[in-house]
Amino acid sequence: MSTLNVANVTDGTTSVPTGYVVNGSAKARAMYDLVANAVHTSLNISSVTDDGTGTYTHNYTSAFSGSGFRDKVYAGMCPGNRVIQFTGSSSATSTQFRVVNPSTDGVSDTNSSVIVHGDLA
Amino acid sequence: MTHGHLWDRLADAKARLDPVQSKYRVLFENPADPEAPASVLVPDPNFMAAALAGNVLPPIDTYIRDQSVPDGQPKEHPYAKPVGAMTEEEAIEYLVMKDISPSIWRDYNGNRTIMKIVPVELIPSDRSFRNAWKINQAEQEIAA
Repeated sequence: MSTLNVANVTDGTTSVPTGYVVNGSAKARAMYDLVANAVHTSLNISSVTDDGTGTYTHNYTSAFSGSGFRDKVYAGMCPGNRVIQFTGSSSATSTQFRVVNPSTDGVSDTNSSVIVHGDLA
Repeated sequence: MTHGHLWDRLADAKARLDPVQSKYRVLFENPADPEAPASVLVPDPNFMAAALAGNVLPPIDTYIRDQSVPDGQPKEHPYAKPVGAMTEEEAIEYLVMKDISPSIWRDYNGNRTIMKIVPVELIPSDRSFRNAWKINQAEQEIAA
């Protein structure tokens, strides 16, 4: 594996410090199918735990620096009018999510994708 | 030659290794929450590929020691020297120790079976009553 040791990256017009790229890239992501119980695409995920209807936990291979909102931030998407919520259960090594239908306030099993940004341990 | 940070090795492994879907799942229950449904641990295919290839993942004992390190404090596993290739069964055992609480796989002394490694085909496909799933205590049966 080769290493580029550069201070800035440029497209010929605009130049940014390399830290923008390193710090701005997602540190974990997963596309998980709760119905088939399978992980399809991922990065930095060791396993996903199916915790019940519409509820699952990401387990990270390389831990984040902390567990709180200042350490990690999430974004996710799923089909239809459902949304992904953070359940409040989080550590440096795992995060629990649930898929919710806002119109009924009920959880549901479906595909979903989540990316996680933050600082690694 | 340095082995670098674990995340860098994971990104490199993802670029060069084909994902491996495991033929196993791990069913487990939390003895501290007996009303909760059984959980199903699903191995990640990129993790499995890295485990089978070797020289990516740190020793499991670094993860176990890091469980007692408070969040926000430096962890050992991202900088530990990677271990060699594992079999699929060894990789599942590694995942059990890494991603399931020791109160389940190590410290539980009750009579109830609260963890089972099963072929993926034995996980029920009908999720109508998912929140009622429990590990069947009858020998040779794992249906929810």
